[in-house]
Amino acid sequence: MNWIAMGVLLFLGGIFHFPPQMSRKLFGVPVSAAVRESEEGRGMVRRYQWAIWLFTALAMGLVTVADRWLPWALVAQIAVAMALLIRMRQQALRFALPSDRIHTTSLGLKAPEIPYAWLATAIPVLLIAGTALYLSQHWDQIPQRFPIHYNLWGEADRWGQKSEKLVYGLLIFGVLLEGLLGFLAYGLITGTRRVRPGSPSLKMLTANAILLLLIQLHLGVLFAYMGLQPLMAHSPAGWVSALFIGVLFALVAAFVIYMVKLQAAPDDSPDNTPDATWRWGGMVYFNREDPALLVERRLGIGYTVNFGHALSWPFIGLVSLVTLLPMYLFR
Amino acid sequence: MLDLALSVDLSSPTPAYRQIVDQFRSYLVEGQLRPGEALPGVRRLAIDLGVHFNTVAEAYRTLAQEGWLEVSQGKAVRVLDRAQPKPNQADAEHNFRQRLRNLVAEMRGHGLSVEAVSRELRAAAEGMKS
Repeated sequence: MNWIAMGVLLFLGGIFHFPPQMSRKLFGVPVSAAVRESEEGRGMVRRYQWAIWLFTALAMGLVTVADRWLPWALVAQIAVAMALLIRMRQQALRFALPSDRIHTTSLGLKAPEIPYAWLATAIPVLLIAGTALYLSQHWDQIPQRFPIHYNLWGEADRWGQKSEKLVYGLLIFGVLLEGLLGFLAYGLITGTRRVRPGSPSLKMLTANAILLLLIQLHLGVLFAYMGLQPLMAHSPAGWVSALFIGVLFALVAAFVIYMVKLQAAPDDSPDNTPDATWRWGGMVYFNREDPALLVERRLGIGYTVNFGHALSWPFIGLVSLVTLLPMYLFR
Repeated sequence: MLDLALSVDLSSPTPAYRQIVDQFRSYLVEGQLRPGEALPGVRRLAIDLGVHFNTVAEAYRTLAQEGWLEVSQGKAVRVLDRAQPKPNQADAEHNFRQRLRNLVAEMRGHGLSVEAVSRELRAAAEGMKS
């Protein structure tokens, strides 16, 4: 039996199991607390979760028969889960609060206040630029062949020939990634709706922005360190990789636990997004009339981009660039 | 700034900008927004309300034309110390009377008695004494 494949399928099952419980909404539809706690509301969540685990079991059965069916089992599991979410959302729309057409706000609301947030972008970019400068001044000391990829234990598993593309490529990728994270953090601080001081929504917004800023700093150090690899005689020690990955996981895990706790807390912050502007089963927000760049997700935790906003296009461009650049640099 | 609520009903036949103007005007007449106070900028209020920039810009422009706000490029939107308007403007009075008739007809149409309508109108007028 392929235990890794089973683990992946179980993990995906868990990913689709929990979102309806982590939201104050019912399958992405704002409903009253009474509806969510009613027998019908709970029954919908129960039926959905049973169906998720039934199809997860079927997918695992498929992989047990033959390992080579794993990709198909994964695709089928995701497609079925998406179809279930869309179906359940359609059912939940019957209970939608009429208030989705009534947008409210208050003149005394607050945006997250994170002093010197710009430093979280500036410091990593300066670190990476400093690394690039150092490399250029020690160009002659870079060997003709150096490691360009490491496994989880920090051991080099691919090498490349000395070239400007390979030496500076990782740093350029790092700057782009920092730009993307900075864009998101800036969007969270200035491009989301302000919320009531002390509310779970404000805590959520602040926690999201702080997480992005911390990841920026963390990745800045990582890229600056990895960028120096061509000059180092040995590959990084195993504990260095473990430290970088461990810190990143610890940050994200702490964030997820905190967010799930906040999601369960009662909050009367207005959503101000009409139901009809949520597409693909409530997963994609597209509203040209709404000037907010990021809005709170209706399914799952965190925020999502308003794909009807003019700035969503540069964002998609940046995401595509960050995704495709490594393929070009390190193929 | 006070914790003053604003709302826009997108399904209402009244244009969204007009709804914003009416609510701000009530706060201004009631003295809940005082001269010199800064209001959120066009972009900020539009994001908070989830409506188009133009909706809020139009509302602020209307209030500025009425003399309530100072709106200028690159500066905070501020409440002005508006001079008391003269009550004997014949056109304005005629206009208000017409709108009042429509409002009273609507209230009566919803089943409110003449006494209840009078009470509501008096309470609204008393509430805006400044």
